[in-house]
Amino acid sequence: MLNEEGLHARPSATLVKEASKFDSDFYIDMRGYRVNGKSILGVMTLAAEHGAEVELIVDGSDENEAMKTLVKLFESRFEMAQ
Amino acid sequence: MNRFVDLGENLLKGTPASPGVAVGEIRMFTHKDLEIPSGKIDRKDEEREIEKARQVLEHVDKQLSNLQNTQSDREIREILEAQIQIVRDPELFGQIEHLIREENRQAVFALYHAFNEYIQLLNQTGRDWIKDRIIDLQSLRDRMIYQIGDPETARRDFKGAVIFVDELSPSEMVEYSDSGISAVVMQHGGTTSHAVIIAQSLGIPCIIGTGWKRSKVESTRMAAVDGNTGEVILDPDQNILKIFNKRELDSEAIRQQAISISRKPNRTACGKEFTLRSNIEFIEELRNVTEYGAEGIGLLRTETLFLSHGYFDVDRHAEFYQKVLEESAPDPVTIRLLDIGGDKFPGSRVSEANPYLGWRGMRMLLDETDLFDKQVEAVIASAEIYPERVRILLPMVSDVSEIRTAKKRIRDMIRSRDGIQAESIGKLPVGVMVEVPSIALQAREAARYVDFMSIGSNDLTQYVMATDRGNERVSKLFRSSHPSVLKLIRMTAEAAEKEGIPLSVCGEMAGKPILASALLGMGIRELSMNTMSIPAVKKLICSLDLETMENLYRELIESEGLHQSEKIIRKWKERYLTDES
Repeated sequence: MLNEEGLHARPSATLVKEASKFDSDFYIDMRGYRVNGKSILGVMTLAAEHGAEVELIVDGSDENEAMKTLVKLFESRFEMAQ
Repeated sequence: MNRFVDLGENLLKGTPASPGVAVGEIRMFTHKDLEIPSGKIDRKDEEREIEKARQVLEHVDKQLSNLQNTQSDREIREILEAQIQIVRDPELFGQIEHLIREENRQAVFALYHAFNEYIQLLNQTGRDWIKDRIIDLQSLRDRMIYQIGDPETARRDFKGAVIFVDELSPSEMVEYSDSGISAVVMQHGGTTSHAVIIAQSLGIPCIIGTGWKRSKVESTRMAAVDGNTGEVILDPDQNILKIFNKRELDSEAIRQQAISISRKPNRTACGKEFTLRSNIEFIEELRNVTEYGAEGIGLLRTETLFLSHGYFDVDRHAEFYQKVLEESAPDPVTIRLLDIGGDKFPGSRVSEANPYLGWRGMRMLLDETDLFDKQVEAVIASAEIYPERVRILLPMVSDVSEIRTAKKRIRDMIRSRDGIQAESIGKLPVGVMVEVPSIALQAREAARYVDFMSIGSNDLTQYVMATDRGNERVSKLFRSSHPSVLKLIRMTAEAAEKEGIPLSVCGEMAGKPILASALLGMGIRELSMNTMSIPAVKKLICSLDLETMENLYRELIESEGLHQSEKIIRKWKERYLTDES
């Protein structure tokens, strides 16, 4: 997690909104937990802080494009979309 | 005030939070005591219940999206976006479906419990920023439940309604206001909470801390609300309606009078000029700042913005400061650096036995230099756009060495900017908050290092009287009018005068007409207060001459203690504030 606030309500909303545009399934793994990356409530319960390591799992017909977009979103600290 | 005594259960009393008078139909929404049917359904009704849940979610989705489209405030749009995503959450819906299909529950039950599971999980994360989101989640949950049970509510046509709730989040206040409500009565809430500030800026009467019996309110149709006195009357009869109609007119007249007072020049009866500014914390307060004629912002609080994000976002702070500067042109804006304790630090596990005597304000900022630098950077960036209007205020200082260290760091940061800009903001004034007795006692020395001083009378009183005013057993000792507090203020005022720097008082005492006059009598010419207090303070000061105010100040400072000073204040109130209660 590069952005300082971690997966706060705002970045969670941005992430989920972007992820939902793809057909592929999207999961986030953190410390042995797995949540549906298209579920804002799931993402928020991770309470991932700055510096936390998360693993992104994308699976489906548009997985390559989805992964590219989502990684970019994490790298840009959730500022680019909207 | 006693005329409603015989109303019994029909009279509720709360704390006035936003002025104005209204009468309307009651709509009650409470997070607690919702009736959730726990009975099982027939297997054949599963699809119908699932469809019911789906429709409610879609309906609320549409309402929130429509509301979002009409909002211009970025913060509120983002909060609404998060709510929309919650309503669309596939896992939430999956859980609802599961409860209906596998446990044969009704849609209401499934919605309620699916939401609650997440509320519990989020609670366990223990993050500060999650608290407001939990209020939002509870209200989304209850909104859907009411909607299933009562299609009337579903239309959310609240025109003219008086809303009874536990507590509202800022985005809910905006939403209710959009649907035309006439007043809000809350069980909880604080007078300086964001939701209350929004009510004030939108002119919605609001009362907080009101206790009521659910069954009583439920069986009542109408309520009369007085946001000036904190009175709520259930089921008002013709007589009471007449009284409230008159109060409504009076309230409007008072508002008009306040506005006309605010247009008059700030001059005492003997012609001496003075300055009144606002203490603010939220963008929504700016509207009243202009309306009530404040000459800029004497205290811009930055803590809530910081805490609501859980980290320091330089761009957001700069954006906020600049918005405030833009709206309060051409007057100055004093930005106070973060006045928080280490316990509020995101992710921090600091726990102190005496937080008010601990690691907070400048003490914390001078250790956490990264945070200090970021905030100063946001202030400098704003000063570049609005030169000569920004002032920087150092909180919770107990020794001049803290001022010197902070000042040097600020100067170095300005110098490291590129030449032309550095020149234009080279004069960025730095001031110190006088709220610790040690600095008041060394005011002369402190004054040599700063460009201005500002007395925080609340903390000063707390430290001088060694009294936590939140503690009811001792709060009667918390009096800013106590001669010992006044003596420290006088020392500070004399030091400021000798060193030729401006001084203002920005605690609550500045917003109390009698005490404000005493401060004028002491020679102080600048006060900063909650915007809503400006008209009453200005009205009294304009009606008195300095000699009278000086007499008041002398009587108070020469009193032997609480008993006498309280008596003096009562006497002056009777003499000069007779037309107000």
